[in-house]
Amino acid sequence: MTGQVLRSTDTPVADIDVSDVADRLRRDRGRQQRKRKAWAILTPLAVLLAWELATRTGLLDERFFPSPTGILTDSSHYFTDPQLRAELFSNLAQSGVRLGIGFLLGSAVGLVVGLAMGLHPVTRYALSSLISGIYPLPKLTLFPLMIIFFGIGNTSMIALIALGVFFMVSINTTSGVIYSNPVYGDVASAFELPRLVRLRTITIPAAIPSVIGGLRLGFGQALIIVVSTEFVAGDGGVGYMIWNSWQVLNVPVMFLGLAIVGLTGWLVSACISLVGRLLAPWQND
Amino acid sequence: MKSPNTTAVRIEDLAKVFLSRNGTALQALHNINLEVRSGEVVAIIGPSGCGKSSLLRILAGLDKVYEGRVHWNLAGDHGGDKPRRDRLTSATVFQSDSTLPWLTVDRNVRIGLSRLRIDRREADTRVQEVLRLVGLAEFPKAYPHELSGGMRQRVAIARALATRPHLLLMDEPLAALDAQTRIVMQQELLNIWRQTHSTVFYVTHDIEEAVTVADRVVVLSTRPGRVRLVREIGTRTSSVTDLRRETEFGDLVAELWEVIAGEVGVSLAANDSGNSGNPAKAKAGVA
Repeated sequence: MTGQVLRSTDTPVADIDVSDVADRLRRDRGRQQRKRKAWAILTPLAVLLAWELATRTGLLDERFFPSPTGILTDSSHYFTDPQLRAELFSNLAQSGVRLGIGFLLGSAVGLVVGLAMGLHPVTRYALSSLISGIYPLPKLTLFPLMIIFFGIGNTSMIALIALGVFFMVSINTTSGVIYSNPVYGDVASAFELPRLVRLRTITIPAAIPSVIGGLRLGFGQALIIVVSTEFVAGDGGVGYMIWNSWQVLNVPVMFLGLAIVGLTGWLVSACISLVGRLLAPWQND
Repeated sequence: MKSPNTTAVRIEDLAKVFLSRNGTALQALHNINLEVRSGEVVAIIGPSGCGKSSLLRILAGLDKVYEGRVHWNLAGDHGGDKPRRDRLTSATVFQSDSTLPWLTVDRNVRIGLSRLRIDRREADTRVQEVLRLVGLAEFPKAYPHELSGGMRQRVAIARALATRPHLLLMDEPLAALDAQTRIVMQQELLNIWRQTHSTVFYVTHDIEEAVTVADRVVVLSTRPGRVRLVREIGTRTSSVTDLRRETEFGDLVAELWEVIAGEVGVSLAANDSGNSGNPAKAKAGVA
């Protein structure tokens, strides 16, 4: 070796206090999180405030756009007055049952069919044209057909919801299986994993993020379908409540219905995301 | 113990043709004749796109569509001893990150053992042993996304080693590691192979690495890949750093570089004369 060692140190020149630095980093992170939360809350509040002012100053017609505080007072009767409360809860229960059964049924069948199409090419070839043919139809156009099959009432509504959810879930499950990183499949083949081990530890986990996406989209579909079929069927439910209160110009109740649908969508979507984060912690979204 | 003179894999007149998306044929490998002897480390080097990885995928059994013949003569291949199998016929370390993000380090290694008939305790011992070998003994419960790229690749190496394969296939296994870790891992691999007398098929684009780890270096030509040169490596120093000091090491690296440089030059010239108005295409030959 030529050249000479100019300087060689094995102890750091100056010590830094790690816990001090960590404290500062934690403070920075906390500030960042508070900032994100503050903005997420402030924007909707600002919109509500603007709405309130616009109604009070007469910029918006109060008959169609009652102020948020007005809506709040009016709809509070629906929680205090026993008769109105019973009516609201009965509507909620009807929609809840349709939504719940339809969503579970549609997702269960969608998962199984999606997995089958992902794992078995012939099944995929056979079903893909059927699915891509029916999938783009606005689901409400199939409502009359459902009534022919299942009669007027809950069954036809649940069937239509399940159908809408089925497409979202099955399509996303299939693509989760066939478009996941090909190296996972290579690992399974190269290490000669037994069929069931491969399914359980490679194929299904790899598809989870896509399946979660499908479930979220599916729930969005389910909400649209439950409300719109209730518009048409006139047989109770939150959708019926919205449509009916609009027709009798009981606008605050209409807004109450809208708020319920919106909050349900937001809450369930957040829950599905949470389940996704628990099942697929490696996915950072 | 295998005798050093039996053939582990014999490749005869192997050719591989791909069909591109628009249906044009693309020949990746042409007329490959090659033998890998038991207990031997064969390194494959060559310009990018010369079909090194295609060859490895064929040997791994991941690609079963090819012309020509490949004979595997590996213990454990015979149906008779399958129920008592405690080693895989072959195991592969892939070029890209092949850890499974939903499994811990420990389970990522263990999954490779699922075909083997070994009891839990044996599996535990093997997993601990290989994790110690690749320097990850302290992270059995970590998830891959909590590790650096180099650490993930060492998990993949550990997974392959744990199966004690009769044939170990490695596709640029150290390319994702930093220069220092790479040399440390080369040393580790050499130590492991000495102990286990492994048969290894090692794809790399790093000439020095090939000379360091291999008993024999095979140089492939530009596409379609053919065997351009086979070079026995005589140096048998046990330390990677000592090896790098030897003049023979430098000579070999220089010799192999000249062959490859010639190949790259040939492909550049061919592209230049063919598409003189298209410099982008000429570049693609080297890239």
